[in-house]
Amino acid sequence: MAEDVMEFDEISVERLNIVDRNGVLRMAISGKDRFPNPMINGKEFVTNRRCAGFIFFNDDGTECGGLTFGNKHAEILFDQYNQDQIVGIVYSERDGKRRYGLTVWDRPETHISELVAELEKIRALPEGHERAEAEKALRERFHSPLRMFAGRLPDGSVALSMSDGKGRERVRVSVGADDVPRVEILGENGEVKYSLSPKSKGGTPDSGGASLEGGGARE
Amino acid sequence: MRGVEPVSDDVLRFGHIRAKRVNIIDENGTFRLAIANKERTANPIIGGKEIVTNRRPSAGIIFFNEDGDECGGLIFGDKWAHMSFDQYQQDQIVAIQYRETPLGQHSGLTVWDRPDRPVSEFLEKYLAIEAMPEGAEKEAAMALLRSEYHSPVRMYMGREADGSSSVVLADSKGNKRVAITVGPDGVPSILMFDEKGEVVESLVPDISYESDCESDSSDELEDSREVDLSCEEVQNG
Repeated sequence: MAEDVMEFDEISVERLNIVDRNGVLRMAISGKDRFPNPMINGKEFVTNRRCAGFIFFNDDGTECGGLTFGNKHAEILFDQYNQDQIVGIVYSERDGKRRYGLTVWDRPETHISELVAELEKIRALPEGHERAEAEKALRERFHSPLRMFAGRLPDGSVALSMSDGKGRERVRVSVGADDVPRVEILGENGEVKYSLSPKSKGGTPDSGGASLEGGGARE
Repeated sequence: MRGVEPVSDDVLRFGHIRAKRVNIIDENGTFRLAIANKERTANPIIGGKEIVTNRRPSAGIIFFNEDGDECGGLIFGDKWAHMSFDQYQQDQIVAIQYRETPLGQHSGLTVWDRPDRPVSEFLEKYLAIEAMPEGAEKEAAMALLRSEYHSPVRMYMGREADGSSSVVLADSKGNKRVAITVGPDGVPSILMFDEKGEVVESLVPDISYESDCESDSSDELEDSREVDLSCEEVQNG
């Protein structure tokens, strides 16, 4: 065995860091008490996150994803370069309502450190109208719409849902909480433009509020 | 020790470590994840109790939640790989997995429903029923238990063993109700089914779908979780 390899049967640690030879942290595997803070270009941002799992860091020493879990949540997420999460499998539960599945987001081109810097400036402002407006403007600039979801929703339905660049849902294939299957194409304001749903069997097609417009190509 | 440098009071730096198992723990000693080879793979912990089982000998990573209960894992072998998350105090609800079967290879995302009751309760009842004398009463009790803890597959998105790729959604009873598919023959289709599996709506190119699709339309969505912790495997162990 090479002289810098140490062999163990079993070890227990509170945190295991994987580092490049130059010391750059590439992955931290940790319990909740030593869980790493987010890092951007090697600079740490103090937060109060206390889950357990893995955090990944890219060549620059910037957080680029993770696999983390706790009692009522679990997630594996990959980040856009110098931005935030863009694809992941996420489970979350609140008040007995659960949402889980595959999620895809859009992220802006802007470097996330710019967002963090502006956010810090805004948070230094006194509370009030000006601060609220600044927050709203920032949120619009860094809008990160959900583009796709495939999984189970809190109401008990399952859906494959796709949205446009503004985050408006435009295609939805679902089996609703009422157990009725639907394929729907939606307009910009959420109105159903086209829908395929069983008419006679298998429940009450109209109970979901979807109007049967446009007929079906099969007709 | 060569190749080991102290970084601070409680941090050591190694060049390379080899281990049969690495546990990551909270300060209070709670296991949060175990990375292990197949001989030392972690047993499930449910309701704080370790369940000794002969499931998976497989290498990989098992996750544990704040309570110390198993809550998922990332495990792999020769012709399969699997990552899943569990509902709190229950079993897996979302997984990405690959498996080769005698019928073909499937790989994709699977979503399940799980009951609101904890799996530890199921296990207790299951063991009590197992201890009953053989007969109709035992069978009825088992059937009732299974229906109370029914955990249907609700969604599958990926490649199916027959070579098709699909998105399939099922209702709360596990009956397949919508399937968007490109079949092994390259034919795309959108089909809707009633509870009995009969095609009630369809959107297909200008050819008959019936010969291709009706034969398997009445199946429940296949539950392809052999590789992971299922209650049955725990109980058998």
